[in-house]
Amino acid sequence: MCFCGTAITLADSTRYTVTVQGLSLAPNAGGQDAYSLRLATNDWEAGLFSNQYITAGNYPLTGGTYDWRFPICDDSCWMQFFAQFGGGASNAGPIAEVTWGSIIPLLPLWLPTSAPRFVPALRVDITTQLIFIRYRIVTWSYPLWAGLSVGF
Amino acid sequence: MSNFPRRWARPLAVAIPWLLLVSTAAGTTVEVESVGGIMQQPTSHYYLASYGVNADVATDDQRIIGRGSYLERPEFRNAGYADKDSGWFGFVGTKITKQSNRGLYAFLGFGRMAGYVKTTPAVAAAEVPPEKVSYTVNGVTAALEYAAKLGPFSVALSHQTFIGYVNSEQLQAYVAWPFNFYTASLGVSW
Repeated sequence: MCFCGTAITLADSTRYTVTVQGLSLAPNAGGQDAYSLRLATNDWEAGLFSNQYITAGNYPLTGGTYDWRFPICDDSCWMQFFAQFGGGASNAGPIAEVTWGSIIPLLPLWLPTSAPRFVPALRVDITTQLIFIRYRIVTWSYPLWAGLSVGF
Repeated sequence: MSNFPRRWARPLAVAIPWLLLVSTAAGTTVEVESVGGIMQQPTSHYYLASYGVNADVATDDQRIIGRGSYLERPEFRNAGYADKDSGWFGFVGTKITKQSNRGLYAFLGFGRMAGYVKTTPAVAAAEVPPEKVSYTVNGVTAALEYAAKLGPFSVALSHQTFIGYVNSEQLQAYVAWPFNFYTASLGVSW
């Protein structure tokens, strides 16, 4: 893979996971349509999100975050469990974020090996965002924010 | 902690001596923490004062931690009504950073939130029948905590989310009831 004329090789020890999320439970019928696109390693995750359920002004709450990841089982495990926290910015103001995440391969089996590459996995997060709006901090929850992850 | 159920007195009378016995076992540590902070109810953007207690049993290296937790907010009275929330939780956790005297801890478990709204005697006296509406929700809970230890004492900051499940009909409609807790704690271990 080349970028700007510099060859970049993906070392065996560097694994990335791409995640897309689309729906979270919520204390209202229909849940909340909250989309995200994320890129992660065992140490960090960066992503963009847009929550269609809540608005900042006339626009859905949209922003980007960077989180430090603390794995309990990282990608050397078949199923991954991790906690992460971090922050970013949104169209409502600065954001802090805390997440409990799990990545479970969509295969009807379990193996005592590392997480499989190129196999879609179920991503389920429990996420809380703190949105710093002018003179107050709003806490917004994503109970069971679901999506798909693929490692490569 | 006025809302702590009396029916738990006997189980606690059994559990506490057992905790003391476990604490003398090699390789285990017992810790009790006093907790205070703020909580947020589902659909509310208000923060309410809350307080409670944690009891931990852990391996000495803190790779496995069992925690029992109780939190409540004081009864709030206004306009002829009173309301209160409380929660009980059981966690399994682990230390996820490597420093010996401080670090990040992650917990996952199950619990129950309960609460009520009732008329107060002033309203009841005005020929309005006394009324009390209660709720109970069970669900999963997750917590992330940063703690520092100095000898047998510890101080910690924690965030906990509880996701309340009511029934399958609500779950099929993608409904869940999240509570959030932001707390600080002071603990002693032995």
